[in-house]
Amino acid sequence: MNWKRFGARLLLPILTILSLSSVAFGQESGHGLLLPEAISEHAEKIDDLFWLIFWLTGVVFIGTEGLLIYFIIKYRAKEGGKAYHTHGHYKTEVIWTAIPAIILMLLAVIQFGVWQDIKDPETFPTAEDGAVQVHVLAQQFSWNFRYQGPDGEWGTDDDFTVENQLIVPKDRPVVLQMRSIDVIHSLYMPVLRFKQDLVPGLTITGWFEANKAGKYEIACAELCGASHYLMRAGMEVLEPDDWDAKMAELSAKQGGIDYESPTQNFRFWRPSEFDEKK
Amino acid sequence: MSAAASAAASDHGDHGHHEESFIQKYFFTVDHKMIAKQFLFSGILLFILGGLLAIAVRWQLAWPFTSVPMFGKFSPENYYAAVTMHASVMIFLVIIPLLVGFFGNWCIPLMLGAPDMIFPRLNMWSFWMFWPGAIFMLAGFFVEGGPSGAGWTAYPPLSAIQEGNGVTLWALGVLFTGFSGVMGAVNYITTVLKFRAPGMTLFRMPLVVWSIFITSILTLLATPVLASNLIMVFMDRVAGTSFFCPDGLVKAGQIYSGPDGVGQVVKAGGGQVLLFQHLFWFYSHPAVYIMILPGMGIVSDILATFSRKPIFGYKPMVFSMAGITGLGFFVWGHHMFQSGMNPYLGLTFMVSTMFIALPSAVKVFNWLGTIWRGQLHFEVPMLFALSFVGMFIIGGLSGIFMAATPVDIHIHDTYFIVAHIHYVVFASTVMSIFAAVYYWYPKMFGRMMNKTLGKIHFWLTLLFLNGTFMLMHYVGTQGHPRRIAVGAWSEEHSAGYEFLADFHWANQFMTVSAICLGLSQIPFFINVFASLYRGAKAPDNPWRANSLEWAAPTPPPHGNFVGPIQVYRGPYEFSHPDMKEDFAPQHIEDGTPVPSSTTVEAAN
Repeated sequence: MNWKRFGARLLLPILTILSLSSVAFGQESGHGLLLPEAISEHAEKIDDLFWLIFWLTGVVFIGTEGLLIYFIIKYRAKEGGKAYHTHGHYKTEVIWTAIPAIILMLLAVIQFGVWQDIKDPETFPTAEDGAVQVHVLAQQFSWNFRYQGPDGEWGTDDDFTVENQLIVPKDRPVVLQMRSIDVIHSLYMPVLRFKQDLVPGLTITGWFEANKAGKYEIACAELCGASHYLMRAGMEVLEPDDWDAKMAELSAKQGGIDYESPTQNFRFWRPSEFDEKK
Repeated sequence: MSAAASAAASDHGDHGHHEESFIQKYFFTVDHKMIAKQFLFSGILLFILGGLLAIAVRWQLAWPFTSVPMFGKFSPENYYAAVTMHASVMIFLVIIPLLVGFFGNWCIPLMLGAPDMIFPRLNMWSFWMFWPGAIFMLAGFFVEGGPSGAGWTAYPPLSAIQEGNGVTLWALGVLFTGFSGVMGAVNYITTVLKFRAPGMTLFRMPLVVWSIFITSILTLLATPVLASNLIMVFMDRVAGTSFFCPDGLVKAGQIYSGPDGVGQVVKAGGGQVLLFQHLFWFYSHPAVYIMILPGMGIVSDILATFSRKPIFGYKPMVFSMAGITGLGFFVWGHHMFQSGMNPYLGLTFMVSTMFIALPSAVKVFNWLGTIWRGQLHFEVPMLFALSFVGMFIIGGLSGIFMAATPVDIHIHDTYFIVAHIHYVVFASTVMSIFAAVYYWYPKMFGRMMNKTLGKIHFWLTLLFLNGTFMLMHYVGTQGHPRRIAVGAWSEEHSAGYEFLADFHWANQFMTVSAICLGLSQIPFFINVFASLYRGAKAPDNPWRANSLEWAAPTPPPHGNFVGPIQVYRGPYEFSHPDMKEDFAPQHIEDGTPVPSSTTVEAAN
């Protein structure tokens, strides 16, 4: 068999698949071929980094695997053939150490900004930025979300809790303060590319800003017991006006929280607990 | 050193003469080769168990809560127990004992030209610490409440408050396998440093020996940290301590640790949950390298032998393994990016993690350099070694996604990580174990393995492992969380996630593929056991390799070598232009190889 011609014939379908897939991967709406729908700026930034790494590693993948297969075909043992005797080449080693080192370093450095933006509590939006605050209390096996109600204050009569339903306004930052009362849970919202472990004994903050109204799902991403797989919640993103109306309606219906009642007596659930900086 | 070695050699020669009873020979043996075989067959036995558990797990994901063949109907508790035990059995009872217990024992003395390990009795103890570990861990299946369902990572407080004795037994089991590992590690390090044949300098050692030597250093330094961690979990469970239980922890609606709010202290609180994770990953990240480095060494040797070429860049290979070891102690935090630790720590761990990709990349390039312009002979070990390189590239590259902290937010704790670990630990490490079994079997048992069965085993395994693990990347990036008993929403199971409803087919595809992958191992088991009796008689050096184990009689007797061994060169002198033959065994001075009648062509 003529291996050169064989290779040329292989090349065409490979290129076709690659170009087709790049079109498919690039699609903007619905879940893409590899990633779910993205409904926040954070999610888009994370996706950009994902695709950057995808194409970078894709090139390396095709290069190295291609070379491997090419060598396997080309250098299969021949009758009377003799292998080339070499113990290596110093310059080559330096080159193929230095180039990946530089690429990897750059790859690490360009992640810094996005990571800080998402995770550094110092840079989080505050009430002055119009941020909405929500308390999250996780327990085996449900999510409790507590809202400030129309007055925008904790510890007042219009606070209320909704189980397994996170209701947030569109285009406003949402700051979550998260605690867990029993084991580690992890709040995972795939469309927001949001994931944060909730650790007993710590209050952890996180934030996001959804830019598309709709209903989505929340998962628990950390094994938390036998019913871990049932620990699901819904997320509803509403237009700001609808959200205000919904808050008022729910607050009126629930009629406030008795923070001293025995069922609410777990000390983690008092608003002051969520303020602790630990 | 040389005098000591030869004295010990003659010592062993004498020992070899007296008759050993059956129990002495097969159970309480101090012969490193028999201990290696004990580890090999123990590993294969437990590998079957771990594999069946894996298939049970996959079955549940494809057809939730239907009757699993051989296990019966699953409850969620059963499912999490199967997930936990699959990982624990495979990591602590299969991969590490096979790579370190089996290869370490088999290769080190033979490749160094030593008559045995330097501490033979410690070596025996290493094996007999392993089985109590296995028994403790497996005993979980027979106690009330079943085995641990807290995941192999056993994060507290879940592992601290889980009912039953499963987690306690699990912790004891891991503790004992840790003892076994440390005993082995001390032995290997000392043997490599002190028990080499004359002429065997450190830089004349085969890369297999280097890799196990370096792995042993990792084991020795990291395992005690895990042990301390396990002891703390153990104490939290049985002795009422609160290392990992903070104030106000709730269990079944009651305060479990710390003040209960009405003036009573139930159990001392004040524990730190994240402490466990730091200590656990301080061991378990190096453990990942413990699980891959020996595979890298094995593959390096096999690639050189069947390419008839010296290793490309021997010293860079050694230094990159050392680099992995050094850096390996500074990357544990990348398992904890979303754990709630200080986000700035995440940045430093990202940089160190990116850099640990570098030595792995250098190794891949050097393997490609090794087969470049070689004469590749596609014997069964070579097929497995080549596929190791191909699969390790996938596992290595997918790691970069998770090293990037922002991208990790999305893919952390999804099936993407499951794909990643299986490409490294199954598609790479287990393939290298297969390669090694096919490669050293003739020397171990004096018989050749069947080539056709070997090739069937190889191609089916390669096909179905990709069928099983490749799609995990895909469902993972779509957000499929790991460790959920029901994955995607489907008509029959509304307990699944709706956003994954489109990917239920993928779960079923992977399960079918996993079952086929399990069945593909049957030719291997047949081959291993049938060849013991029916294999062709193996020549002394069937692969025309250079390292010292091929200089020993087949199979090597107690004491290994006949006469003193002198080493003249490195292990990779293949196809030297000045030599008539294309290999030059390390122990032959002028490079004239052993007569060709001892090679495999003559035997066939």
